[in-house]
Amino acid sequence: MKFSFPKGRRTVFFGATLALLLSAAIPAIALAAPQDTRCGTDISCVKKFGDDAIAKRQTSLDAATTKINGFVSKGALTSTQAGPLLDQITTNKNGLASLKTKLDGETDITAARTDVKNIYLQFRIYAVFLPRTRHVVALDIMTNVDGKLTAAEPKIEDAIAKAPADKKDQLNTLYADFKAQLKEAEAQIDGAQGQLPVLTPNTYNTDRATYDKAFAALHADTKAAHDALVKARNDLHQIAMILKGSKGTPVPSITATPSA
Amino acid sequence: MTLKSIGHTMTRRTVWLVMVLALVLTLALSACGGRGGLAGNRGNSGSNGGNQGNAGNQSTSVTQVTQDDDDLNAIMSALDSANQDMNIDDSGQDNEIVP
Repeated sequence: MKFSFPKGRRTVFFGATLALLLSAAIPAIALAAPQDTRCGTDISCVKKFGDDAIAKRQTSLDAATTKINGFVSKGALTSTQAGPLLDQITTNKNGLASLKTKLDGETDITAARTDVKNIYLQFRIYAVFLPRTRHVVALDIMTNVDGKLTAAEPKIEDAIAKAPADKKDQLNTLYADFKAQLKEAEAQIDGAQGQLPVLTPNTYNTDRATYDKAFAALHADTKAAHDALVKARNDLHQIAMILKGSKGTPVPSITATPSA
Repeated sequence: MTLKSIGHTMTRRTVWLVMVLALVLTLALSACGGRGGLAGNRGNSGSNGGNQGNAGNQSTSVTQVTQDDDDLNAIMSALDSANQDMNIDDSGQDNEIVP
């Protein structure tokens, strides 16, 4: 059986098919084209975009400096711990300042666009540097908390030894959990610190899967260390409250936090 | 003024000076002796205290533990702040935009 169109209908059908194909193809072509329509051929527009992006990053780096100095003034971080972090911030700030000078001096729009691209590729302030720095700060503070809690051990042991007999079991249970939580925190801190060398802009740019895996492990280990330290501190607080109570001070209600 | 009267005045002055020196020395020595006595008493009460001594020892160790507990407040507060910062995710701001 033959199927035939009249000539006029054939033309209409052909035209409709062509229109359909074109309408589907044009948005795809537009999406695939380089995104240089924002500034077009206006180099000053490209420079302003880059300068704004650099200024935003400089502000974020300044905020990180303020935060770290605040932790130092509160005694949560030592100057020795803060020093390398502040040096890295300064290095990034100086690098961004140099890139801004280069960008501002460009006379070719392609070179200006390359400079803008390097704000992302070379620094990765938001994707790599700041998240990594925040985790390092937390790990350093955790190391200090761990040190303080560990230093309390002989005092706790001495206090438990001198505590009334009817309190000793409860105190010993809490103290055993306290030590277990510190051990767990230390293992998690070590694990987290082991991920740090991988977390660089280069790994982020060239091997994203490895970067993402290392960052996820860093985050999980740091969080686990934090949780263990909070539990250890809670144990110490309960021990202190029971000991105070045995001296006649009222003891608040106690929620035991034994390790699993 | 005769030579005899000058001699009398000098002798009186010397006597007064010796008396003042003696008084100062006495006061100084008694002060040292008093301190030594207090130390001795404190030592005795420590060694002979019995139950009172145990209570004192317990009190000291409890104070040390509660002091450590109190001292942790500031750094734990900083740790909470750092822990919250760790959850900030502004990585989207590093999605490349070519103007």
